[in-house]
Amino acid sequence: MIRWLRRVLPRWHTTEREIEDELAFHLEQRAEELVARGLSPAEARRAAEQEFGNLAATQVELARIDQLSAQRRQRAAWWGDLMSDLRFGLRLLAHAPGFSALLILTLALAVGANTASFTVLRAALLRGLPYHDPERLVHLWETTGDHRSEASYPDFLDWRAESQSFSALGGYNESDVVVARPEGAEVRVAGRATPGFFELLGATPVLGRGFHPEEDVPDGAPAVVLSQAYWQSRFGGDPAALDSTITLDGRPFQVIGVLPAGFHVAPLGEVDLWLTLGRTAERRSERGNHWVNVVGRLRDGITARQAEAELGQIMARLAREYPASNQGRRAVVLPLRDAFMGTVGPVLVALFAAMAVVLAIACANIASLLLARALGREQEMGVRAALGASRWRLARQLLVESLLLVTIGCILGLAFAQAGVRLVIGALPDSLLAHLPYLRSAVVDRAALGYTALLASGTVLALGFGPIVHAVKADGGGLMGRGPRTTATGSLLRLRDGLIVGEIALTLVLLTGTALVGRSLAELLRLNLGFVPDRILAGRISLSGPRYRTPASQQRFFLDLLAGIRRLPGVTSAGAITNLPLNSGNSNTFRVEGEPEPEPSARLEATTRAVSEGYFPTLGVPLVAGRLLDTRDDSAHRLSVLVNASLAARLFPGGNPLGGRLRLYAFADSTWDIVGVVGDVRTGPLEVPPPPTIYFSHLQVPSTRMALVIRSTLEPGALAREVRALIRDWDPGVPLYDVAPLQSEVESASAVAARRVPLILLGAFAGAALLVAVVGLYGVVSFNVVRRSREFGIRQALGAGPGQIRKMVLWQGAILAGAGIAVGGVLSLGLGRALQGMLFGIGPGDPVALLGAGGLLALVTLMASYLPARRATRIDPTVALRSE
Amino acid sequence: MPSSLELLQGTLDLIILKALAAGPAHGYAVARTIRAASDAALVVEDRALYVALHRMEARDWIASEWGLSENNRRAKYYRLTAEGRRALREKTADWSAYAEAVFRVLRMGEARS
Repeated sequence: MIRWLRRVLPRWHTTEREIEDELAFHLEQRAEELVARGLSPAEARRAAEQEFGNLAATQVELARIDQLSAQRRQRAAWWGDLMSDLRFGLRLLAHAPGFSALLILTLALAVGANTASFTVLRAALLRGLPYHDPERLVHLWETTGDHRSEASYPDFLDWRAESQSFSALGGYNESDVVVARPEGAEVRVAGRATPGFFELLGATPVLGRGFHPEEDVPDGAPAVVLSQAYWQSRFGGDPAALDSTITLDGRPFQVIGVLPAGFHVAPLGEVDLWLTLGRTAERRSERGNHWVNVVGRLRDGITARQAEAELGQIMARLAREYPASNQGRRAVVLPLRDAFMGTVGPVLVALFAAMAVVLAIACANIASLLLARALGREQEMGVRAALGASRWRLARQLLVESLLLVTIGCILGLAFAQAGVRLVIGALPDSLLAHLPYLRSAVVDRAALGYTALLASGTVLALGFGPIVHAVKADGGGLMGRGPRTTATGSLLRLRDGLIVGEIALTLVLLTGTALVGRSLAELLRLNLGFVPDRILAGRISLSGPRYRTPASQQRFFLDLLAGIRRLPGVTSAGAITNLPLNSGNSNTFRVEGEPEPEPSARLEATTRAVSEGYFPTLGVPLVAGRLLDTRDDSAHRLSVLVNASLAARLFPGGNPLGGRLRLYAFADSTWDIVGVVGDVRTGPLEVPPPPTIYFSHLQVPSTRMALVIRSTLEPGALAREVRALIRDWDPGVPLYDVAPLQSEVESASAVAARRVPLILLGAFAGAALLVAVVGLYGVVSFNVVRRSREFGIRQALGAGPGQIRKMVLWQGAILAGAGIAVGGVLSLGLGRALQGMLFGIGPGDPVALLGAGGLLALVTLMASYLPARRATRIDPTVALRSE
Repeated sequence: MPSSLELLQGTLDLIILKALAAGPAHGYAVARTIRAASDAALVVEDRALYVALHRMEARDWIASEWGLSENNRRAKYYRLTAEGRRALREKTADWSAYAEAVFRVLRMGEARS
């Protein structure tokens, strides 16, 4: 500041003195002229001054004009310099297009990846809780030991009545409802909420109202609140929808309100309709039935911990009063953010952190490349410094050069970011997206642009720093004279080598991770499912309403429908089951008749399913022994079951259970004949080996909900239309839903989805890291080739062959790559252990994955050093030697 | 003093440029030239003259340089720049067109009477 003043102030003085001189000259000339006309010098002087008028004011005015003009000229000169720096920078970039493209591409990828993850993270964190004052919202759970569960309805009512910590408490839940439509029934997700639940979250219906307490009782007026989306799709956004009625599960409900767009309760996914929670009469009084998700708004000044302490007292009282249901139960209060984004939040934060690391590495990499070039430009900088360029001028030129790179990189990066957001969202399975509706609409917006700009300016400084420090040191005479390299340069070079080794190590870790997860996924998809999923269409059916009150009417429906489907042209076989394979669900405890009664805790447990005739042949499940269940296994005949091979092998010596009998604790008075053994099917999660399984006949254990499986030669869409038409003819009130090829059930299995997302992300990271590392290694090796070109020239002149020189350069690259691969190999073993939970069918040190990743990296790094090595052999010794 | 005409701002610039068209001159010489050329009909206020000179210098129409006057005194000499020459041409054309138009109107009145 002081220096600046000193530089500027004298100029002002000069300006003012010059104006004084100029006007004084004028007055003298005028006075002289007047003297020549006969006035005395004194009179002439006075007359001249009088003629002129206010001299002092004129001086001030002229000084102001000159000063403004001087400032304007200075600014213009500054811009002129900047423009010439920019032109020079552009020429430099254009001079080495390959090098520039590499730098810009690396930067664009890193910036794009960062902006994409920022966008996704922001969408999740900011829009995941689109409620009023979300920081005061909490989720309440009951716990026994380390098991967390929802609250029971009576417990929830007691909390709400007794606790003082909350300004409001509300409960929610969900269930499917069958919506009657003229064109056929459909199944929709219905939320269930207590009165005041929407208001608690800060949502006000845009039309109508929320629930009243008198609607929250079993025989209260049936009322339904619509989501904005459902209101739009079914009523076209017509306000007349209010007070109309919708038939849900066979009962008319009055539409009382419409929720605002964007209202969602993340754990429920996309909810179309909201009903009251308390209508479900039988569950209202059961203190041992835990099904209510409780959300509360903390009073001002109350912390979650204080609220939890208060609930603890209430729970202690309830445990004394109702020991049967409440013994050992406590309550926990967690921020709603954790409850709604518990699983997604950390993943996104990890994603964000990983992207930041990629950017940091890319920056370090580009910085080292720029530094390498700066070392090569020592002479240019020295000459310019000697010719009078100030340090600041040189530093600015380097800054402008990195600014140029970063600007181009960022613009390209933004385009990559938009694609990256689509990629990330595309990689997420639909089941996850349904719970994160805000992610679908995540776009690179103004905030993301701001973030990128911030990132860019940081990057400009980071990239410019090394070369600038170097340039500012560069005005010594040593550079002109090409003295020995300074020790500062040496340590920068070592730092750069270290960076490359680190990059290669990290790349190997990411590659190994990708290989491990990829191998696990392949192993999962290669599993023997126990059934043949191709060419099978699956769909679910739910019976409700007065027509299907009796088991006989339900069974009749399924029998007739299956018979109708089997008659469709192109259909080979068809059957039905209560739960499709790969879906968890019902299990029962049982014992083999004749065996001693075990302790209650030691009872045998088996997965149970009810099936129709034709189910096993349709799925291609083999009959191992005995017979299959058919239409004769109905209520008029003996109770018969099939068991799977696992259960047979475990409980019956020799694996032959035919003739044996089972007792199920759920059906206390009956015994079940085992009439056949079928092959094992992965009934539960894909990665879990087939559990012991018992199959009933749906004619003996009826169900209102069954899944159809149809094997046919028809195209799935056409078949689905045929089946729908069949159902509509029979009863338009019955919905067919979740219609999809059985193969998609395999592909969307949670075990597959849980690995596919990390696989795509890891793969993307690994690819980016590989590119960055290869660019870095290529830069380092080729830079060293340039630096040693004189040495190579001498060697060639002394008779070294191209093979020897190539080997020298390759060797240098190999040392760096080898060090990186060695470090990365050790880290990879650690990563393998960290990924253990995600691995399937292979160990954390899987040699195929480790060697494959290491081999790929070795090959690619070798190629990165080969190009410069080939260039080294083409150095013309005479040119290289003459250059100094 | 003979009766003199007040000059409009743009007109002042024009006649100063015209005065400098013959060659570099200091402020006093410019004033003298204008007075002589107009037979003392146009009198430029000294203050207005210097303000106009400095403004036009800021606008890069003229440039200045210190030199020695006829009587060997240090004086600030102004000369036209290329831009100033162009401004002079444009302003001359504009002013002539304007003046002719005004004259036409005035003569029309005379012919009728």
